[in-house]
Amino acid sequence: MKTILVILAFLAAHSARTQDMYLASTIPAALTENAHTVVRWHETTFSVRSAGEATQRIHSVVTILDELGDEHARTIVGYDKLSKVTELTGVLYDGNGNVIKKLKKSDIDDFSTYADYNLFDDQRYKSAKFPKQPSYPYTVEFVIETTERNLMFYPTWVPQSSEHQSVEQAVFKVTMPKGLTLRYKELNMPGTVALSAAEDGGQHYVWKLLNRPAVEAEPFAPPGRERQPAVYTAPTEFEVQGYRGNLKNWADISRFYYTLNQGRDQIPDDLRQRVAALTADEKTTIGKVQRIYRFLQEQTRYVSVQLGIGGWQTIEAQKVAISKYGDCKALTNYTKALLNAVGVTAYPALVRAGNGQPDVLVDFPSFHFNHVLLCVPTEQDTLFLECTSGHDPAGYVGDFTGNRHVLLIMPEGGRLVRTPTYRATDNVQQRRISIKLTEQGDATADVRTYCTNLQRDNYVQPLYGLSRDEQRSWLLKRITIPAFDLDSYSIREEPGRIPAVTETLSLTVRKWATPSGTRLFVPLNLLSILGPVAPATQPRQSAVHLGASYNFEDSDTITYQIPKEFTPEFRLEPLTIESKFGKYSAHATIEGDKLVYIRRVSMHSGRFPATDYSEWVAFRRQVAKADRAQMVFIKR
Amino acid sequence: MQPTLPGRLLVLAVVCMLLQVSTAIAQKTIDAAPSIKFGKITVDQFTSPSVDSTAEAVVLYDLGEVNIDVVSNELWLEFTRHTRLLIRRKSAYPRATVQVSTRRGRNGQHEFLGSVEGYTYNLVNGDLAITKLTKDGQFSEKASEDVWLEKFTLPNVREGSIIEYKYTIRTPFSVNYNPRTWRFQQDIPVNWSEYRIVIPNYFYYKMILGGYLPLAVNEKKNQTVALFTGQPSANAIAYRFAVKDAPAFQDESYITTDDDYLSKIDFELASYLLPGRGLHDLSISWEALDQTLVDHPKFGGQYKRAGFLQETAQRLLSQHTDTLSRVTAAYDFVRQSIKWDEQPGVLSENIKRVFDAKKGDAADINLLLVALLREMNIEANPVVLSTRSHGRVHEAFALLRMFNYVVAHVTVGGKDLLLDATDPYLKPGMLPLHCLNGIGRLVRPKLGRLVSLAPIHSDIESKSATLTINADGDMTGTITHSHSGYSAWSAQKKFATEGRTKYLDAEQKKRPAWQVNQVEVAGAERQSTIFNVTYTVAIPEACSRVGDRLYFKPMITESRLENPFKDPKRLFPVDFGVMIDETFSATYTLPDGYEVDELPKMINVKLPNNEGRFLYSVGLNGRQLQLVSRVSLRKPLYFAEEYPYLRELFSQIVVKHAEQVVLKRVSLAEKKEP
Repeated sequence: MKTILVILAFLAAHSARTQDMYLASTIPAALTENAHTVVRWHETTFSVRSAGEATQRIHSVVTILDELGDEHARTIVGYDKLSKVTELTGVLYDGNGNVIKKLKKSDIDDFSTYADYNLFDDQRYKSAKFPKQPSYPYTVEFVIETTERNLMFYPTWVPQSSEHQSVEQAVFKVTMPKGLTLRYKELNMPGTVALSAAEDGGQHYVWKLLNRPAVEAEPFAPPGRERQPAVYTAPTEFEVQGYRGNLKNWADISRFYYTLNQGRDQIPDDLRQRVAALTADEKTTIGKVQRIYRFLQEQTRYVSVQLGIGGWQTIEAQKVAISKYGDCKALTNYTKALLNAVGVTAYPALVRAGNGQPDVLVDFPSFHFNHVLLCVPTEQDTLFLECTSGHDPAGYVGDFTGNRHVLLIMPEGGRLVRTPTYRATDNVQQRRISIKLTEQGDATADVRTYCTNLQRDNYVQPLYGLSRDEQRSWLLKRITIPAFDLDSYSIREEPGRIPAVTETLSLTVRKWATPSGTRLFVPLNLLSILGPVAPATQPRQSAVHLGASYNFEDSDTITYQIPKEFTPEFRLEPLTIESKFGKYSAHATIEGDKLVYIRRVSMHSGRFPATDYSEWVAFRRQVAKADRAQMVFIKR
Repeated sequence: MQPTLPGRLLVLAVVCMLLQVSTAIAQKTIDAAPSIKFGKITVDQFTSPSVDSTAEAVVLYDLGEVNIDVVSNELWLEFTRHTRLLIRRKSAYPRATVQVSTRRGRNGQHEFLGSVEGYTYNLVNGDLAITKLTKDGQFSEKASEDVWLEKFTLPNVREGSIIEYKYTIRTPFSVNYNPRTWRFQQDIPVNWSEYRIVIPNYFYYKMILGGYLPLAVNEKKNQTVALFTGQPSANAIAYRFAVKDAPAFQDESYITTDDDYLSKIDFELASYLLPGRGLHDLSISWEALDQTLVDHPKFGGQYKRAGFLQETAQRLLSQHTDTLSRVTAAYDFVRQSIKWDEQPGVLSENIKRVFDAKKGDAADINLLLVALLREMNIEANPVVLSTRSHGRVHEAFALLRMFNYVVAHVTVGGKDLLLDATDPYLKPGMLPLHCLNGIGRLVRPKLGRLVSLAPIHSDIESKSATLTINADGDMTGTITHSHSGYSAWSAQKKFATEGRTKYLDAEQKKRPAWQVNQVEVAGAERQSTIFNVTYTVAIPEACSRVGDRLYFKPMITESRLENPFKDPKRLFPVDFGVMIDETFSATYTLPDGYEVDELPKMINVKLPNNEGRFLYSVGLNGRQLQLVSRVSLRKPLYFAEEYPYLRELFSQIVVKHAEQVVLKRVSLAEKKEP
């Protein structure tokens, strides 16, 4: 009750200033520039009552300026068994601030996350939206209030979360009761927290953000988090379904997860004996791990069953031993039990997974993880096992979980460690093509491509998920030669410690070369053309960010069998383009009636200042041009 | 080059069966059904052959059985499904999790799933291991107010497992009286798919069978059923259909919606007559459907009287004199006043409210247009149709649920004019692409008829360039993109929604070689029939140089780079929706001191019956090189038999578009020679 009073007082203090937030005419001009929507007012009030209970209230007023802003005339709120939506109301205003309608019950949808891979979880959503309006601008207001009984998580406040959205005023307020301390981290915030005393010895924390113009995402920009103002918050002590935890450092989180899942890694004796027999002749830890990992891949499958302590408690290994399925926690826990049975120690490792997902905030311990791996220290190196993968060699982490911090789960409290990063030399694509050209310009080509690690990942789905006919369709879409037939093809995984694939293609290409009287124009690069990137149309704002997928090394060796009586009309000068982003080289040599064209590209991930963008564009333009090089043969 | 029997495959296996026929005729049964009993498996099933041994999984057996039942004086549909599936690869694991949706009715009555049973069979060292589905693997969740999802996942599944499950869904007539669509074909091969239904003679169902696969079993037999206690047994017909060895359904480009091409069976209850309860008549003939709609308060009831439009009608009448301009004025009035919410729709709650709120769905807007035209004493009527993503309308069946959209119809100068007021950029008589789907039904008491939705406009894109080449191989000049018909419609719309900057940025991004100095846009306003964008450009290094020669592609940045039809074979028709016309013409002024060394040869390729054409020619006229490339596709739809020709036409296009012109430097002395 006290908290509510505090909120009311807080609102009253603002009401004078916020009266005209329903009027479109009061938006400062700078905020409509490049904007589809303007956040007139956004207030998140998070009131912690105790270590185990809090309420959150979000009050937002957004003016929609044009059709592309319509999607913001809606709101969505998730809830589950541990949280409850206690209020969801909304009002729609015209540009002059007159009420058009109020949100009705029938405007609110309630649905589950029935994405098909999710077999079962108790996460649900309520979404509310106003219908499309005939004219702009118009304004929508929403109030969402929830009560939370899973206080492992405190809110992260990101008031400007979309492109083309400006923010007039935003406020984030957290109230802590006496004896509980808030931990927080500010990112890209112009100001810092304002503290004031709450009743009964509690504490208010208030952040504000004013007049932020709309931003537009640029190509090759760093993840949004690096520019967006945000405040991360976390508890120091919390309680969830009878489990209490401290959260001051990473070791605390590790210990809590350990406690939550303690004792759930028991497996039946017959299974223990079976894995012991399976690994009996393996001397090394790594050999044992590989055997057990293969056993896991053959016997179990991933099914998402996310229940229990907000989805943080695993199904017992014993159950997995019978059903042979589980989610990432269950399969990791099960694998850990299998390894323990043969004397190999392993630790679950919590990770924030996702390609392009920013790393956890290393200096701000919190539960911002969404996945778990199994970490196995061995004699040589440390392996991270992805226990939900049916195909990867043991230890491969890819771009879903690689190159980032993970938290080891240990009884005494674990620490952050890093997963492997794949360098350019790890991610290769080696292509050898032999092409027979006819005088008419038609060609037959035999192509053999070998790819490793991240470059091999493109092949995982077609290799393991598609029938032969579907593979053909997939290849037809990928090959960008103007007119061709795919005569034969294969995609094969290469055995070994690193993932690798070999693809072979036989192609008949219609008029690959253009005959023109006595000449034959031959484009040299058949399949590996790297296109240009878009030049900046506005002054570049953000740094140039090349992600992990830019760590690669490609080579193409193409041997052309030249038709009889034809000779090259000129010599192709060897070309090397070097830049801070990578290196490109191409050259062609004549050996008898053959022309051998060799092209190499080596790139690497990195971060460059915004001013380098034009250089990046120029480099890619040069490369694109070099990739379109052609040779002219003339008939003697 | 003549295609044989065009249209043979398009007509599909659509058959009409009136299920009242009482004489029992044993029909064709080519293949015997596999003898499969639930829970009983033999080891040889693990090595079952199928039409595609590389598919991730194979449905070995899929049986659906439907019966009509009476429980405590209520009618129920009872649907039982028994499926047996061989899992070959890990990617098929999600198929071991089954999801069934059930509907909740309004009055407490709802569908429910009963008696789920399942087994996983594995071969372990040649021995059969059986794992039973337990309660642990069954879940149910509320998806929305009306829909619940029942899910179960089978245990102990690995590569090589066979899974088998059986469940029953019971549906009260108050929730749905039409059995669920049965699909004989799936995205994986199906060795045997069978559907059985027993229909007592109290019920009159219409049946729609669609797709491209032949039936292996097509039987009906007379039998009797005791449906109502205290009543004598009723005659009934037991139908049985099966498809053997259905290949996996594969999507193709340029089709309307997958469901139009899948082999499946659908039912629609037309009427039923229960003892002592009288006849429940549902729409059965087109005339009856017309009448139903005309009498429907949310359809005919909306445009019959519309006094609130009187003032507007009078104003429009006084401003315009001839019928066409009056129709156009009404059309424009509705388009300008009411905003479309991007939803289809056949029924409208209240067009007056739509008029006041200034927004609505397709039914709201177009029924309002019909009402306004009628208020202006113009004979206007609605046309119901099905959008492309909603599937085909079958002439043989007057089913309301085939339709999801309404447009307005008027006759001007003896010609049908269809109007869709949801889109301000359409010209009168032009329907948006999503409406170009075969036939619609003109709804009019006694005078209703089917109307063709075939487009009267083409998609016309005509590009031209006037460029001067300098001795360094750079080009400067102007390039104009001119759009008309559907091309103008989509370009104007894009230009209006994205704005000038975004639109032009996107066009230029597709042509990174351009340096654009100036852009002029003409005809962006929606009344304009042509939309033109003229770019003043420089294209540095447009020509490559080798020694004393310059060469360039005369299609420059406007060529087609890939054949959209890469697959050598095709099963379904190619449905473009509209006719297409693409032209690029260019004039290049040659640099001083250069002459043409070689030019690409002219080509003129035609489809059979001249139903499509590609013309390409380059010629020299003094110091100017002139190019024309024209692609005309004169039908909105090409049959699968015509596909090889269409594919070849596009191959010729991409090959020709890649060809180059060679220019040779000549010395001045040489040039002076006569």
